[in-house]
Amino acid sequence: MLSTLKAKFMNLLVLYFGCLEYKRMEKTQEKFDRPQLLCAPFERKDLIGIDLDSRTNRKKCTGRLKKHLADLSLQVGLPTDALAQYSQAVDILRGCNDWLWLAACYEGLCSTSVMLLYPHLFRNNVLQRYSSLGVGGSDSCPGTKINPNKVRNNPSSNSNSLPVGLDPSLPKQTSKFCLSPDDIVEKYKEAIVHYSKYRNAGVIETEASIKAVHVLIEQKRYLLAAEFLSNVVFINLQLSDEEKIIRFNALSDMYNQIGFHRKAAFFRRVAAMRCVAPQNQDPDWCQCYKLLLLTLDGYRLSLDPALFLKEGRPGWPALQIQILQELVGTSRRMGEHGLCTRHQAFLLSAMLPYFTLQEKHDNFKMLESVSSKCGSGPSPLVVADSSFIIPPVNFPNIPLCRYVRVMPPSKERQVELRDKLLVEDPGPFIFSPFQSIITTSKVAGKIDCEWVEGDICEVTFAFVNPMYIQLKLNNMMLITEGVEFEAWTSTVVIEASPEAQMVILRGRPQEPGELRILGYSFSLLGVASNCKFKSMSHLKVPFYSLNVVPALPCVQIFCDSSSSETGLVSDGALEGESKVCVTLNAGETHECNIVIHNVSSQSVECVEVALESQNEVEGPDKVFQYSLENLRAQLPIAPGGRASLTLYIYAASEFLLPGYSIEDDGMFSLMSGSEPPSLISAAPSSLHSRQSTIMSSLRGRKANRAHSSASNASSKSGSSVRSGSSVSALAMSSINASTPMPTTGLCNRTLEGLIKLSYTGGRGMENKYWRMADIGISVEVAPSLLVTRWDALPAERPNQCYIVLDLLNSASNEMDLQYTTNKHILMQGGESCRVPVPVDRCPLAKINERVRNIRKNISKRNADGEVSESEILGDHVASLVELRWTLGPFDTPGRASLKSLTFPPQTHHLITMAPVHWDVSLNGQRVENGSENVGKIGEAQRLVIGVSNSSGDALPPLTIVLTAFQDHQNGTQNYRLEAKMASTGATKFGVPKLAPEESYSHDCGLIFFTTGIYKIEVSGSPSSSSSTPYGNFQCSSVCVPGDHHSKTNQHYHAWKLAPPIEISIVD
Amino acid sequence: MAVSLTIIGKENSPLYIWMDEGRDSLQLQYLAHTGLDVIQEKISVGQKLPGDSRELYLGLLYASEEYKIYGYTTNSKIKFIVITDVTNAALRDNEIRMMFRHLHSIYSTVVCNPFYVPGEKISSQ
Amino acid sequence: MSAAEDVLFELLHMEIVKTFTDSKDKDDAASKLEYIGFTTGYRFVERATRETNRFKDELDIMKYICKVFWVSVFKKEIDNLRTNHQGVYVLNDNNFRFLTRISSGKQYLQYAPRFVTFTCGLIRGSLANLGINCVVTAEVSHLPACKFQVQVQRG
Repeated sequence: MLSTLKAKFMNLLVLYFGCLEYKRMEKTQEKFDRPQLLCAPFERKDLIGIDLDSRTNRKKCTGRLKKHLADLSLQVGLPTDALAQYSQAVDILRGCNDWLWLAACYEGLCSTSVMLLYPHLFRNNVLQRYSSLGVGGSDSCPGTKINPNKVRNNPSSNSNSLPVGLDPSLPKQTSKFCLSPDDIVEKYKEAIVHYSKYRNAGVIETEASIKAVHVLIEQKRYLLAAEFLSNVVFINLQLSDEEKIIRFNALSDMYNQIGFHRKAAFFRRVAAMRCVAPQNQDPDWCQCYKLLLLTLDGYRLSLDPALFLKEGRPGWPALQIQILQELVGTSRRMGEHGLCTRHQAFLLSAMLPYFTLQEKHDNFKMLESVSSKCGSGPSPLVVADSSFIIPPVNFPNIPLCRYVRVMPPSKERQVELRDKLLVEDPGPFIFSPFQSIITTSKVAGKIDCEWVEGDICEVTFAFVNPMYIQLKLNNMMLITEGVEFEAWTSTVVIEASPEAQMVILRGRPQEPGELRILGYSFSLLGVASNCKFKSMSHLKVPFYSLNVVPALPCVQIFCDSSSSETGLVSDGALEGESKVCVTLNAGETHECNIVIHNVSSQSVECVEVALESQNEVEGPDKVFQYSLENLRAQLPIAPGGRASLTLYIYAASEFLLPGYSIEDDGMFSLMSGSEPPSLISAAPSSLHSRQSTIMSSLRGRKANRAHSSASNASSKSGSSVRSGSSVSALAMSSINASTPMPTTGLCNRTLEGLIKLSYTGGRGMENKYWRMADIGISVEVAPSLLVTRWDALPAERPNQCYIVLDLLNSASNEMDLQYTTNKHILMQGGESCRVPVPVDRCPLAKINERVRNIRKNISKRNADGEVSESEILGDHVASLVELRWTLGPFDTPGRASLKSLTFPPQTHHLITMAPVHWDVSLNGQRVENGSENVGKIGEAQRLVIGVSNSSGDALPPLTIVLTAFQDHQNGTQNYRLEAKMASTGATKFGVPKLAPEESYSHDCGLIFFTTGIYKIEVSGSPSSSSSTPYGNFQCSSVCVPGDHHSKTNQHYHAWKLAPPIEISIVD
Repeated sequence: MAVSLTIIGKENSPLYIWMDEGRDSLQLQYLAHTGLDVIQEKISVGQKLPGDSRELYLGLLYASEEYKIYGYTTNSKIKFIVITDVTNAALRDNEIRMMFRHLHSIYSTVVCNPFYVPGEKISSQ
Repeated sequence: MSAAEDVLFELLHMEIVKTFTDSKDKDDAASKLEYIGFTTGYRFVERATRETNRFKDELDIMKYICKVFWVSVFKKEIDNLRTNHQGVYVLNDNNFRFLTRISSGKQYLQYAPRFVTFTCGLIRGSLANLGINCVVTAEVSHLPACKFQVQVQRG
């Protein structure tokens, strides 16, 4: 079929060629003396009345014939002949001012030369483009954007397509008439000038111009080409509207070819406007629309908002707005409301920065009205009967997103990765001063927080309304990528205020992994808008990515207030972050039940509890106690289930308030160093009656001393304390006077604690993710019992001493205080009293050990060692004394601690055990404390003095001296017993060095000659007083030092047996 | 007197537009806009016409039936376009050239103004 | 510029350098100095090229920088310009003005970079306004000579 057509076509061509050739031959042989005048159709009417026989006319005829012959030569493929004939014709016609035909000759000359010089011209798609002119420029594949470079670089320089014998180098040699490239342009110009002289030659003038342009394009002389083209515009042609459109389109195409895209767009737009000109009877809106779309390139407009905004808005805004408005109008006239809405939306969004406020409003109203007919979806629209695709329009700037905050989970929902490998990889650090060029290629948008699968997550946006019109954003939601995410839609109203407004978009990740938040979508006035961060250059990040961790349980933690007692307030229990407030008396213990409620769909399988406290004085362990095992036994906590943790709160406080007492006027009386202060000032008289033990020696007031010692003596039989020892008591009563402690015990103080619960479960646990919950506990401690003063006194038993405490009930309620296992007193609110507490003395070994430890750890000086010794003793006493009380109407129990009690050095010997232990027997009978020994005159009383080392260290050799005296029971003592007593055996003897626990005993005998009460003092001192490594062991309570002792230097030491051995000698 | 004056930035966006009162602003802007094609062609690299003086003044870009469009470019690729009436005989090539030079000197003063960020629209009050 | 202006310019530059290198964030000092140079160059070249004919090409611009521009800023021409014709230009100034006040020898060599940073920016800014985007680095191997390398960023 095709081949026959081809064959027939070839046949036709051959016939046609034969025809032409015949005509040419005929003309060549035609006589030139009488040629017929050839003329153009419009010239015929001019022929009337012209002298046909004139010389000029004859030349004209000859020239025109020559030109015709040249045409024929050219048509039959004889360009060389044609060139020569054209040249001859030019010469002839120039002489007779036949401008029209002269121009035609020039054109022929040019064409032939072009054929020879640029044989490939018009042989490819350029030819097609040219031929398309006749059909109508609108079919020039609109989808393909005309790339100037592509067209320009299209000089099909493949000389292979040359017909044989038409080598470009040939014409120069074969024809002297062939024009040079520059001459071609010149001659074209001349031809056009001549054509322009004829009103009816507009079409051929246009043709010649366009041919010239093609040649100039081939020569890459675009500026000159532009000149020719702009000349074309001026040619006045009588054309129909359709022809005008075709003409402008052709011009536009030509301009595109020379790279003048703005010009091309201009003429394309002119063509488009022609389609719908007011005088046009049959306006073709559709064609106009398509032509307008073709102009966009020239105005640097891209209907893809992302692309358009990215290019930094080049172009000419006023013209861009114009063309967009024309698109809106045209599409509306076409009835394409979808397109119309889309264009109007784009106009508003893209040109927003160039609009005045009024224009913004107008365009917004316009969008409102057009979108009411048809909205704009998120998918591209295809223009009917064409390949144009109008991409969806977004509103990345209406409203304008100022910033984005990907919200981490709320505090109680935050997760923590345990056992994570801390890989710190900061990467190679390259310093460059050229930051503006070298963009920092850090991973932008990586959010350092973790969302949890199944939890509600939030992203906060700050929006600014550039429109000053209230914007209603429907179906607003997040656009995400990566793991599955259930984005929740919401309707947001952005008020017409210039302030940034916060919008929160929520969603729920459905699986663990990396989630990328790409942007948000909404619908404004029916225009669906997908705003991606990557198209918003001011946000700096293309997307936000974060990690979604596997599902984890979530608990609420609160204090079960129903089970708790009075004084407990739990606020915000359901908010997750709760705080419990308790008011307790100092020393009281409270039990509170902390409930852990699993509010998630995952079960809690593992918990850890930690305690944090801001208290400096008491460690948190002392105040708060709980049983983790108990809680763990309740695991797992099923979804919706509860577990409880019992918390024991001990209202720890400082019970020691030295130097404080309630005076009559209620003033504080702090000790001053000048006068030994009184332990009790204005002691209530009732105190005495309750006192069951020695108090007198502590009486500070000198005025009272006589009375008190008397009362002491009378009230307490068998008291072994000499009245004289009150001096030492005076000296040592300056308890802790050096640093007055703050009166913390008096006012309410608050203990803060934080129970931190870490828990995990579900799949999150497998990935070692944990969650935290905490509950704050605030304990307000009301004052209860206070120890205002304390002292140590010797007790009846050698292995004990009395700790005497002045106590103050600083609470307002009555207090029942139990201070030993079987003794208790009742104290009214604000009342104070004094109690003695018997305490086992501190073994020396214990002190030694502690001191050694301290010395080992810190190379402390001796003085510091002593300080620590007083602390050791304090600890010792505190561990033994327990003050239990019940208070108030509910008999609230509590206990006070004597922690941080210290004793001055003077009292140390009372509290510590003596290094020397006396073991005395008289007449084979052990001398007990206070036991009565009766002897007869003249009988030898056998006295065995046993000394043993109880210090835990080796004792140096000692010298023991026995001194006897007679006590007349009236205050006088007679030491001159030479006539009343004789002794057998030494009364002064040496004891060798004693290892720990080693003992030595000495026998002697005493014979008394008169009756009476005799006493024997036993005292020992180191044999060589200079070397006393036991200086630390000052004294012990059994060995009451002499009066002088506490005042002398420490080198002198003596240990005495106290009380002295008493022997009543009777007849 | 010129009809319109436009300063166009490196990226071919107008920085400053002045129009004679009462003229069709949009039409003049179309003229200036299309004039850019000619300027671009004239200053494009590789365009080495023998007669090219490499002057900053680019001369007449083109003429329409009513107007003449003149162009000028700075070395920093800022373009100035001046449009005159075709009928205006008082403005010859030399006058236009002087006008452009004056404009260039004003523009360079603007650039040296610390409050002006190069590339932004020029506004004056 | 008169002699007084010459000295003023040098002193001003010295003070600017000092101000930035003494400031807290030393890391930023170089980039700030460079930026000052950039904006200065960008604005200055607008004015300086007012009477200059249109440049033919990149090399033409580089020649302008080496001759007219350098003379107007530093009162001397660049001593040597080399290029690989692939966008790398090396400008040698054997007696760079901002380094002439520093005693030669090794003593202050380590401080030399801060005195050439501004000029790097100056070159970059000028070229940027003339349509050449580039990276400018400087190298001082012995005072007071300085070598500026311009690496043009294509595309």
